[in-house]
Amino acid sequence: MTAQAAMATIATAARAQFHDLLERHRKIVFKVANTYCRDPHDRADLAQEIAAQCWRAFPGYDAQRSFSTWMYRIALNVAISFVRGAVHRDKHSVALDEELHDVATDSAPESDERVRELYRFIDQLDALNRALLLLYLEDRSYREMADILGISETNVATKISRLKQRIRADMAPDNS
Amino acid sequence: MELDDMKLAWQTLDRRLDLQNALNLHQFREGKLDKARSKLRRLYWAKIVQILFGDALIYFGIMSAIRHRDVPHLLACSLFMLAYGLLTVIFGGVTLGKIASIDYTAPVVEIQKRVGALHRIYALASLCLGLPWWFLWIAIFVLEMRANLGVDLFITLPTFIWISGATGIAGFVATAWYLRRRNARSVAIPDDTDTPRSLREAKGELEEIERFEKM
Repeated sequence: MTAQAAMATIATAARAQFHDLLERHRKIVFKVANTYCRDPHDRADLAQEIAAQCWRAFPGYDAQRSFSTWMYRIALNVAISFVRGAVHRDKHSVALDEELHDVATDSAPESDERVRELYRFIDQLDALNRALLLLYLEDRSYREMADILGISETNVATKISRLKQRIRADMAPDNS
Repeated sequence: MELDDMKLAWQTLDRRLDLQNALNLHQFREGKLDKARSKLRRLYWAKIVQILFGDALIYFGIMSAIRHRDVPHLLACSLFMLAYGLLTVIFGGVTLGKIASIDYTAPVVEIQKRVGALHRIYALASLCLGLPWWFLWIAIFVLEMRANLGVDLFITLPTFIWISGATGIAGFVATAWYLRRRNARSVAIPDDTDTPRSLREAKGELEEIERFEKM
């Protein structure tokens, strides 16, 4: 086997391994894209950008570490940079009703209302607090959230507690 | 609704997302990942071109300064071109350095700080490299006329220099006035209206990260 053929075999194996991991963790890509983009085309672009960045960074991935943590970091970094890009800034401020066409299918009215409130709340948050909320809703441990975001566990706990207070205040019957 | 109720809504979304996006991953197969180009990659190549352009200006600026070292107004034009070339290379190099420091696998807060710093330097470079063009084109045109046709416009056509200079000043003032007016209208980040909007937005990003980092 020539060196070129050996390299090609290694590249094919790496690609297969990456696709397998991406398939298993694909929800991370879609959830992050869904949290940061309302427009379906932007969402698809963002999902593709996240997958592309993961593929580029994959050679440096340390298999001893959690793949999901690694992927969350990339996905959130790409998403936050994506929505902060000047070109997209205006396109993202879409009316909430447009979103409802996407989420209001095949579901009970009660859960639709919950989803609407969830989106309404997410839309009020800045990019970093959105990341924190997403990780909390994904049941990630405080340690993992701290690792992904790059802040201390105590800070994560404080911020989650503040988010809870904010939700209570926002969702109080007087405000809805 | 409490944060834990939101988890129920999130789980509802989770099920729907899985159905909606079951087929979407096909686009990531068949080699399409390699072809995808990120915005940072495009910015990287744009900066390489910028540095090459700056290098060319430095080269022509030096050559011209040597050739016209005894003619003060032509020497001034050459030094202006040289200084602009240096500024172009410096901003291009700093931006490339910032791009190189962005590794998306690092923690979010750290990387977003770097991205914010990149936006700030990019906004500053756009301003510092954009405004001088109101005058730089005159210097380049004068030096080109001297080099290619042997005509010194300062001597043969001083009216042209005066009119171009006056147009440059008017354009410079009008651009500055427009930027100020646009900033004053911007309500998104209302502080510090003398700073261009792109710079204030970059500053706003960095402040948001700082706030998030604090307990």
